[in-house]
Amino acid sequence: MSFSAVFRRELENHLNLKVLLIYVLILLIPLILFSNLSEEAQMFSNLTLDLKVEYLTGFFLIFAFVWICGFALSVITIYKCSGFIAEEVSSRTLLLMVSKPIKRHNFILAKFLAFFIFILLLQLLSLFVTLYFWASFFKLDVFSLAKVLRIVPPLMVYSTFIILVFGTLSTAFSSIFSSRTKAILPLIAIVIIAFIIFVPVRGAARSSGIYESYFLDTLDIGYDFGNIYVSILENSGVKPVPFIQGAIGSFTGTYIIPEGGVKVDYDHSVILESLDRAGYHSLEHSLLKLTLAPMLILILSVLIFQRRDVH
Amino acid sequence: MAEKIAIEARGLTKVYGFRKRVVAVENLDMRIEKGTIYGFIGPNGAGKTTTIKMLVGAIRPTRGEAYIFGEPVGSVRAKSYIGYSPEHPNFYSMHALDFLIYIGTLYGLPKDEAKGRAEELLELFGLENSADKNALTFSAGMKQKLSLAQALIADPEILILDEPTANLDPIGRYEVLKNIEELARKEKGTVFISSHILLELEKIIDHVTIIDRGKVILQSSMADLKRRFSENHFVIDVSDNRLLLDILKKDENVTKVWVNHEGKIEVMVRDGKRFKEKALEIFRTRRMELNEFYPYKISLENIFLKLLSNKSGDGE
Ligand SMILES: Nc1ncnc2c1ncn2[C@@H]1O[C@H](COP(=O)(O)OP(=O)(O)OP(=O)(O)O)[C@@H](O)[C@H]1O
Ligand SMILES: [Mg+2]
Repeated sequence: MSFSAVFRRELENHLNLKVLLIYVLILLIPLILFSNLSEEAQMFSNLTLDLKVEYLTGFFLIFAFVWICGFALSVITIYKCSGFIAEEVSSRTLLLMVSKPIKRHNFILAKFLAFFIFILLLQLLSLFVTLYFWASFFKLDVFSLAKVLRIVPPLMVYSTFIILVFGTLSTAFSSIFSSRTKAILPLIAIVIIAFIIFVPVRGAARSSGIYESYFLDTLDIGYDFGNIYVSILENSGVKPVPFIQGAIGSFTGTYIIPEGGVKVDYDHSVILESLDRAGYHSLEHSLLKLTLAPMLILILSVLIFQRRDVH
Repeated sequence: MAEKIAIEARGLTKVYGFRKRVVAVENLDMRIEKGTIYGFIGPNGAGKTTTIKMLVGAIRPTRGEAYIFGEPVGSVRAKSYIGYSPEHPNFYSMHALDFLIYIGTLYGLPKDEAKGRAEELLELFGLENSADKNALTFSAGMKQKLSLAQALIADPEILILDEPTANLDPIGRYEVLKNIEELARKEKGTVFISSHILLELEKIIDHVTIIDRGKVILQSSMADLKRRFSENHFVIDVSDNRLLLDILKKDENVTKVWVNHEGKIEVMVRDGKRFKEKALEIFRTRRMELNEFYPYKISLENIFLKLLSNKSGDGE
């Protein structure tokens, strides 16, 4: 069948060794940076094993949110999916492809599915590899490593979510804009606004009360991503220590950070309490917003693509 | 697929643009029977490529409809009958053989069957030594041939070829057309082939549609066309053209005779066969040295000229 032909070729293309190496490098860059923070490593070495596991898990959760399941994953997804149709336009192969006995939407779907499976496997591999490296840096034994590994399933769930959101959007833009740059730019803008620009804006807006009075939370998709991230973690029994909650909170606004901030408390005699969640909206609200909108945009663009003249 | 009509178009129209509208194809009607080799001829910008893109489902007709063995154009079923070679072939960055195999699998061929067929076709087009070269590095002529090969990979019922000889050298043109004709006749396949040179296709096509500026100006079987445009029309060049002109003017078989821009005599007659005998007799008895004597060629230009001159004449 034509669908499986496209699917197979796409998958084979993804499994190109050179490309794989580049991806793994991108995913691992911050790992190298982190391992150079010898000070942290020094402090870690004095901790009890339990706290080591606790903090390592916590730091990894930040690293995962920002990079491996965040920026890196969304950028790779955007880059690959935005080329699905736009690249065929620039290489002028689309004319031949649309004349072949395959429905146009299946042509896109086959490409998306191949990428989806590929990136999920890559993500799983990257999580295991990075966690393994971290654990060996901090000299964890196998038993403790196993404890750290329980964060892999919720991180995979979150990764799936990220791939779906950015994958559907960039696939959609790829099929309506004829150039890849045009498809990428609005998405990169979304990533930067949500995860970088909104951080200080949110802080200022909250402390001055504008955030609540102008319902800025409905625009704050960085908060929605954080809300989903934290909810997935908590639902699977992973509760970060307050210091880590504070760090995630300062990125996404999902935790209420006490005045004076949260200090790293390496003294395990102090009871670590949990920070309060900032309940601007429910998990359902965030999920609905971040899945429904991209889905609608994708359906609309595929409908447009099906009627589009291909030259 | 009990249908006998391979391609049918009714009032097919394509208008490009919104503000500056270009009517690329207007009210095209066609009925092409299975097994026909059909020429689609017209000068640059006539609307050939536009028509073909509608038939293969790449662009949507503005008005009208078209069917492939009764299936609406653009549907997966319609497309499954078609092997299409575009005017400007483009490929992925892949080995030629792999590309052909991929296209084969898109038509549902199992991989090893596609491979066997691909190797056959590469050989047919003389590309067997380039099977493992990147298709993007091919010369224009090689790309043209590879494009034909991908159109043929799944033994389609209908071949739709947009100027398949455009980038080929004279020998290549001849061979490619011969291959296409042989394949088509053997398998009783239908071929829809566009060109702006009628003369080149003359030997292989059964039927022709000539379009200009989006409109059909002539639709005919080649047999009729030849009868109509060349059987009773000759070009003559002898040592004394002036004398011959005077003699022919008095001949009651001759309907029209004049000296063309090359200084040769063109003559139109009622009965071609009788005229040929008579002419030879004149050359002999008047001791004229014969340089050229041939039936008028049905080039596109000539048909245009003739149709235009007929328009004022018998209002056709
Ligand atoms: N994508 C397009 N947008 C707007 N106008 C177009 C487009 N493609 C073709 N046209 C116009 O439609 C008309 C028919 O073009 P088409 O390419 O079908 O001609 P053609 O017969 O294939 O010519 P050629 O022999 O040069 O290939 C021309 O006037 C052309 O300018
Ligand atoms: Mg053309």
